[in-house]
Amino acid sequence: MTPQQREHGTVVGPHVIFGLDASGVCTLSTGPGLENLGLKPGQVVGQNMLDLYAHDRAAVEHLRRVLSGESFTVEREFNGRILSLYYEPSFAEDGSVSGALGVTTDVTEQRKIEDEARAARERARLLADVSKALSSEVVNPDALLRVVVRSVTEAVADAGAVWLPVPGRDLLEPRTVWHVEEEARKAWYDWRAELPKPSHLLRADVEHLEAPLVLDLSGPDSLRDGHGRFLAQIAERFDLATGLRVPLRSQGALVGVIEVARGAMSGTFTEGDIALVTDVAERCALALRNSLLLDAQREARQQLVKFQALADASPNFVAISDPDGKPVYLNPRVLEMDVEVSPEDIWLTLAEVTGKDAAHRVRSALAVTGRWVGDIGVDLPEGQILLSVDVMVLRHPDTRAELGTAWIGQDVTELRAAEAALREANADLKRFKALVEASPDFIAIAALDGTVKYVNPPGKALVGMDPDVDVSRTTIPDYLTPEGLQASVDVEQPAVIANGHWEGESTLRNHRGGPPIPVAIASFLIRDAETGEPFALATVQRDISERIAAETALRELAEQRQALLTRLVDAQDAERTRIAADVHDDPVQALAAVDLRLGLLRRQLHEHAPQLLETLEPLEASVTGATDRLRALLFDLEPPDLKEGLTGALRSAAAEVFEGTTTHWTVNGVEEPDMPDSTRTVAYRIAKEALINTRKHAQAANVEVRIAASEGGLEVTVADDGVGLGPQPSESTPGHRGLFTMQDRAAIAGGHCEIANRRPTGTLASLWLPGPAGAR
Amino acid sequence: MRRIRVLIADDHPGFTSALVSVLEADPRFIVAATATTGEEALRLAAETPVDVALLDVHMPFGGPAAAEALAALPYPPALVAISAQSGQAVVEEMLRAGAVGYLTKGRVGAVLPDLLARCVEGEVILATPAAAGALRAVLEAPVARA
Repeated sequence: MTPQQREHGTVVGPHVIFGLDASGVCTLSTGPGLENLGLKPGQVVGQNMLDLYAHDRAAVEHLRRVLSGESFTVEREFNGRILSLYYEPSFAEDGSVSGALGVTTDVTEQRKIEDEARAARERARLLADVSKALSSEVVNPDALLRVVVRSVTEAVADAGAVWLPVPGRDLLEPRTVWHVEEEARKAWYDWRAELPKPSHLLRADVEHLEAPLVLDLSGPDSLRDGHGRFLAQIAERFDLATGLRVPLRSQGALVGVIEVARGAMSGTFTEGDIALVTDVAERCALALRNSLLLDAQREARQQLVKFQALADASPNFVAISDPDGKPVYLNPRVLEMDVEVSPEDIWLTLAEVTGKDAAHRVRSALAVTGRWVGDIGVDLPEGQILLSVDVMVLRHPDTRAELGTAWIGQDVTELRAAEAALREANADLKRFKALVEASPDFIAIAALDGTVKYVNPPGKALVGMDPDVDVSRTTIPDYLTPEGLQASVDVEQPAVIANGHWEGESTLRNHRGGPPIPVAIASFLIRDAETGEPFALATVQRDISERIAAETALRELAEQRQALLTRLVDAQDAERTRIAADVHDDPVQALAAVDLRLGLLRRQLHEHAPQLLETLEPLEASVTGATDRLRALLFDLEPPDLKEGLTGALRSAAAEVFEGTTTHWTVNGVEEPDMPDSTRTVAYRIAKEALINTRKHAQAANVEVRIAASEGGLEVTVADDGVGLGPQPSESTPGHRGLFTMQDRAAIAGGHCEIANRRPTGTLASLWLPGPAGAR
Repeated sequence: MRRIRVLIADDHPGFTSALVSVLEADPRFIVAATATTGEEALRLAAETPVDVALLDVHMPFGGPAAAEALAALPYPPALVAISAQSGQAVVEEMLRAGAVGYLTKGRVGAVLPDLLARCVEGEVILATPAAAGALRAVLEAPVARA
């Protein structure tokens, strides 16, 4: 029988006609339906049917009813067949029931056809419902899935579920389940919370499923797929025997799986059931796909809106051009730029603001690698700015089709300038560091708490520290001698705090136990360049051992010179005194005696030979002249009397020199310093020579001698208002030999003497002699 | 006529000899004694008073010290200094020590006896260029400075 025949409903099943008398004995039994009942025509004739069907209560009842005169039709199941029975009593002339006639028609097929038609109608209604649901619930995939599972389960099964792929994993998970019985449904949901793991399908098990698959859920061994144990447990728990798995496919892609299952009582799935589930699955897959696409589109749209908002708000320059270079999006920063962006070709604009070469470079790189990152200078009316630009070709994630080009630029004009400044500063820093490291001086930096942060290598070497020692474990006192520490606490640190710096001398401790190292120190505070707050102490210290040694040597030399000078002067004085005494005792006395005797001779000649007197006169003059010269020599040789100081001695000398002249002299010794006798003696002789020169040559009205301290030594000036020196004198100039003697004497004593003309007139002799060593 | 008694104190024998010759040749004088030190001169003057003492400034215990000692005698002689030195300081010192004459060796020659005689008579004769300054200093500061 074809479904078409069923549709038309024209076929009536085989029938049986039987008769019986009033007592129930079969009188007739014929018809094609007998075969279906396992009987031969006439086989039961003569047998009492009430006895024959005594075990069939329905049959007995029917027989009795018809024998009581009732005509009726009844339908019943018999031996697995559906039978329509028509009973008609026959009456005797007296009206009593004489027998009955029955017609049995096998309507099994008819009923089946009718059921199928009903099922088809139901299916059509279901599909209509599903279609309606799909069209209305498409915006809500979960609602859609609920409708689908519920519909398909109610139509052909006891339980059903839809599985959907888990994004990013090769798994499918149950999204919606349904059970026809409410109690079971509730139990399902309760039980689901404690579903055994894994409660999912492996994508590999369903990926290649093309047609509906019937699953025997009666035992786990029959389930070959990966989640067999899981399904078996479900089957056991909910008394499911047969399952049907149908893939949800859209355009060939698996978008999910529908599974329905039946209990043992419900039998196996018919072709119609499978067709129904397949139909629904197809529609569901389509709707699901649409729904997912719609969701994706909505999502994409939202993303787009967000991205655009992001781009709009970005402080960067953002632009998107289509594959032809036509700008399709420019963010406000770009629009604010005082540049007219070509509406047709963004490359034209780029070439305009950055030059053709640069634009070409970007475009070439983009063509090869799809991306270009770099800095480009952009000429704007208000000046050039530097943009760090990232240009990339946009492609569809699936098809790889070119969608356009994205441009993101960041204004790095100041950043690059700052970077350059930073590089320069770093280079400076390196240079300074190299300078400090190369400096022969001890250079150290300490925190304000005295913790040492840095000591340069020559500094470590100077104090005898190992070059690799970690100075951050040391403090300032570690580097100082006890005296140096005392001086640092008493003098240096207060000065640095008060003035920001201190310069002086001290000693560093020798870490190898040698003698302290004398150093010249410059210490100062390092301040923060911005806040001015001090944050560190720095010190630069120079080893002055050699200088100290040189100074000591110099001082010793000066002392030696002083001693030598003293001895020289003493020796000179002794010699002068001896000469003076010799002159005084011998030539002077002798001449004085001659003078006296010439006087006696003169008196005698006067009396006895006056004519000889004129012979005597030149003799007397010679003696007198010689005596005067010797007296002058004695004056010159005379050692100074320093009882009243150099001032007193020069006063005496001036009095003697200018005796008998009209020259007015003064000796100003208010500022006379305390000096060794040897120095004062040299000064006395030189100044006296100057006074003698003035007396002899200057014709001065006034002479002033001034004695003062100067530059650690003794200064004596002799100033007159006389005629001056005249032409530059030389050693051979008569009367000027004394000038050079003065200068020689000063030089021998370590000083100097200058004689010069004064303005408007006169001579100035300036003498300076060093004081005792160390007095300077 | 009584001769003027002269004490010569000088440690230069040549000069003393010449002085003795000059004075002995002059009838107004008689050289009563000669000494070569200040002490000797003081002792001799104390033993035998003289009218005038010619004192060399430069001799042991000579100069101002001898002059002061002689001036302190009960009958002090007229004190005349005679020296090769002619510095103002020395002259001043001798004046303060009581000298009434100051003669410069080598400059007196023939006039020495006359000058000596005048000093004995009471004149003050300072025959040296430094005399004025010395006198001024003494007058300005009558008491000698320490």
